[in-house]
Amino acid sequence: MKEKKSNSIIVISLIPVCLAVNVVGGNLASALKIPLYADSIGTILAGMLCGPAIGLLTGALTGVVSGIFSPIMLAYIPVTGIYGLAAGVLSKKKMMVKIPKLVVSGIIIALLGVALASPIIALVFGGITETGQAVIIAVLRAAGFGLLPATLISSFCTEFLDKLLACFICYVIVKGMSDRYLSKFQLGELYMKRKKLQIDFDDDDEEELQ
Amino acid sequence: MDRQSVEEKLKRQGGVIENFCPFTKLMLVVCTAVLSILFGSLIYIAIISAVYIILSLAAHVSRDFLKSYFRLFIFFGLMLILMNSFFQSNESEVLFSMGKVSIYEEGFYRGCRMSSIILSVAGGLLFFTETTPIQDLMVMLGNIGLSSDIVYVVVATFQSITELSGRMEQILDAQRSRGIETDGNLIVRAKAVLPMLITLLLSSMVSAEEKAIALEARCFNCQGTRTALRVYKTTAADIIAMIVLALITGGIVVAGFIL
Repeated sequence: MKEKKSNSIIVISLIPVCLAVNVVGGNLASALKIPLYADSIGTILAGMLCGPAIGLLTGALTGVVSGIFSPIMLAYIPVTGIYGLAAGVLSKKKMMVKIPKLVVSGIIIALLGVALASPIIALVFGGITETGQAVIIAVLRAAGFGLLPATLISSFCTEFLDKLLACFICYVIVKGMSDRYLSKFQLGELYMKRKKLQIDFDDDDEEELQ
Repeated sequence: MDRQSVEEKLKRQGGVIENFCPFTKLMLVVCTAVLSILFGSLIYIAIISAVYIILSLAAHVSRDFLKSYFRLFIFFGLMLILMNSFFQSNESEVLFSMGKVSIYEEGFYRGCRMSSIILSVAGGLLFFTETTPIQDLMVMLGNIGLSSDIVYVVVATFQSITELSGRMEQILDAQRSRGIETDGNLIVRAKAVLPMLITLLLSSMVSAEEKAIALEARCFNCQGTRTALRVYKTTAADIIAMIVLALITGGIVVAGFIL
């Protein structure tokens, strides 16, 4: 782990940008009135490039930051955290390198999110969300489903599409980055066009500064 | 400009409530949360709403706060009570019925309880964030030993959000002028997402690198004590307020258990 120290600064400056992307992406989705959240793109990107730990941190901080705008989001910290964690682990296992694998990863992330979000929606908020989900949940409950299954079913609908889109966007972004840039991140090597890179690009910055 | 005049300039103009230390305000949130878990009811909701509204009026943040609090109140407060009243019908007594719709006693009280917990925690945090600039909180947390990396990440996030929102507008205009439609049916709007987000992300990745270089140039990874432009101290008023809060909460809890 020779590069760890010099990596950390770029990671530290990447996290705020990823967090802001989450917030702005969410705003864009609601501005275009698209029934997606689009608020986990930054988290997944951080996980993809920097590994599970940074992904988890970015995800958890997303919860904290959105919590400042709407305190309800604080209850979802575990969910936003698991997105980053899952993206990091999947990326490490080379599950995000090719499109077919990417789809599987998207599904896994969505499944984990639903599995974690539903109990939170059901237990903390009694099945109420600020989105249209509340109506679906109410209808399902009236149709005889229990609180937990009703929440699960309604979450599945939105989550899958959202996470697939997020993974796809991240993939396009990472593919669009230069090798020089990717080399600064822990998992960046997986996505480089040129394999087996020998040159240490990390020294670039230091030389520029001197 | 010497340091003192800078500090003078940065001195907060706010009133008494804004100038309380962030920890005092957090303590208020914790106290109301504890009380709501123990004594959640319809009366509690009324009292807690009154407390926060009065405090926000005193702190001159009332308009933003009231708007968000009202939304919270309608979406979560009332909805929780209503939904629980209709569905939690384990053969409990009917409290009120109108035609086919009945409100069940057990569900009603359950709903009130949940709603008071959510309103006091979320409302309290809302009040906290409305009255506390994020830099204050982070400097305070940095003072008590939070890693400077985290302090930077959080403060920079808020800068990045404004920065990126501005850039988002630019990209939106630019892509519109190139013929991407942002109005129309769902599919048309969904098609606009990719060219928007990908452009935004790539440009923000570049800015992340620029920031990293800037940080490195300013010796971010150096060891040693750090200085901050803003300096905050816990005042006597904070300590008194904390003691009073603790006494009130303790008093109510004790009284609640005796009665």
